[in-house]
Amino acid sequence: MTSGLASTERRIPAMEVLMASRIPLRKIVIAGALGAVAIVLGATRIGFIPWVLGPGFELTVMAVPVIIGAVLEGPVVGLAVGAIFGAFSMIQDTSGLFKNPLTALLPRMLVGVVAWLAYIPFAKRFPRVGAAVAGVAGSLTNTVLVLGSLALLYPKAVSFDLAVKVGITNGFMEAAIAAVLTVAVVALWLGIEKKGGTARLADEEK
Amino acid sequence: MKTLEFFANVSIGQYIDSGSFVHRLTPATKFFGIVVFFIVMFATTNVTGTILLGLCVLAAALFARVNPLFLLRGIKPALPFLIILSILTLVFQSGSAGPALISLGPLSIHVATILALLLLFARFAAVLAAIGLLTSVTAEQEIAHGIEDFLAPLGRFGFPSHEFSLMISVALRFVPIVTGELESIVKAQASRGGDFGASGINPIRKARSYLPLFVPLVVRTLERAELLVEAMEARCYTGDERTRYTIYEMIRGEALVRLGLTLFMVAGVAFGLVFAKTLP
Repeated sequence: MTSGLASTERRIPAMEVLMASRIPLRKIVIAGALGAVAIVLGATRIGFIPWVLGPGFELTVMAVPVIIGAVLEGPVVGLAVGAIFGAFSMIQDTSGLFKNPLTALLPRMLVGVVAWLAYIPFAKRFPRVGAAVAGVAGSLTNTVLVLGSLALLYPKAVSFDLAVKVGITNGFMEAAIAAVLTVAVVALWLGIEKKGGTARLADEEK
Repeated sequence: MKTLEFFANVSIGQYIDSGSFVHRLTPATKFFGIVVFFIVMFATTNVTGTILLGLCVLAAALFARVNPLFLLRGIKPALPFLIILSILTLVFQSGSAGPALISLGPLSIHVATILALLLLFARFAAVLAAIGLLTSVTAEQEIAHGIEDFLAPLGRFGFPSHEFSLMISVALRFVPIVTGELESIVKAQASRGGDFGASGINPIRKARSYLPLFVPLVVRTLERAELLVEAMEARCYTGDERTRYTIYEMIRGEALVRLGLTLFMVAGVAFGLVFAKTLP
């Protein structure tokens, strides 16, 4: 029953090393996957829902993966997905207003954190309510911080007046939509987890 | 009805190995290059500077044997939007200081506005070219390693650079997967007569018509993510003690390149700050 290793080789007990990772692998991968969802929603323009004000004033849904990440996996994941969303919006930006990390990156990172904070009180007893509250809170954070920073940093292009108008017309709609979407996904996902995991996709691919 | 062809929009750049000096640089240097670009770009507030910066990028492209016109191709899809934005800005300009070029009654076009718009275009083109260049000279593996190597020094301050770059790799790898998922969902729903068109003002109704697209997309992506985690853990992937199969060594002259980039950064920022007011 010797281990068969030469004296110079090192044994690494698998369990020990798995625990030593600073951030659990699961959170890293889920953050990356949700980040990809935010990117694809933005790049294919599917994340832009047409709205009365016309092109350029669509309702955006890309903040929702950030919120979902925060609700399901915690503030670190929310922060990370927000960062990915923010970085991508900086790259995709055509108006020049979002090239500034303070308008594009920081608000989105806070979306994740705020969403998580809003969810926590409800997490144990009323997760669906919590998900809806997180959706509203996260979306409003996005609206207020992004428009606010634009109005502060680029007063010539975005007057305070304009920011408030856009904020009120779009903001509430986006918050409502975010709530609905977040609840739907979270409810489904937590239901799947309870029933025992990855049955669906794995089944399909046989 | 939105187009069903999504893959055309989501290309993350075309890596074409032309074997040039630039291609053979270590990924960390390439990332340093793009960071320098962005730093200089932020420091440059005038049109002249931005155009010069853009020309530097195109020159680097030539040096890397990448076709500069190819890099600028990305402007085409954004063009309609930019034109509309320009027209709206010109028309709805609140009276700002500066001479008016043409006046037609209540509407007038100010020089300042035109310059602001030119700056916008120049910045957009420059950023597009720079990112295009980066993706043209950096293989997909290298992107992940490059981010990691570049951020490695931050590890000393507690920033989880390895985990961070792993997350970026996962995101990059998932983008085509998610796009494919999206496409198949849209096609499946469309074949069943589902329409995601916005129906009116009611937010709840709007969101509900969006659900059949959004929910499956996110849930299936999460499921794939979990499978990936299982697969990685089953192969004993851990965060610590990692070695790499591909080791990047600096090639001859690379130290000079890094030095050159640093000098360029300093010069660029200085130029941007000094000439901010004097040149248009």
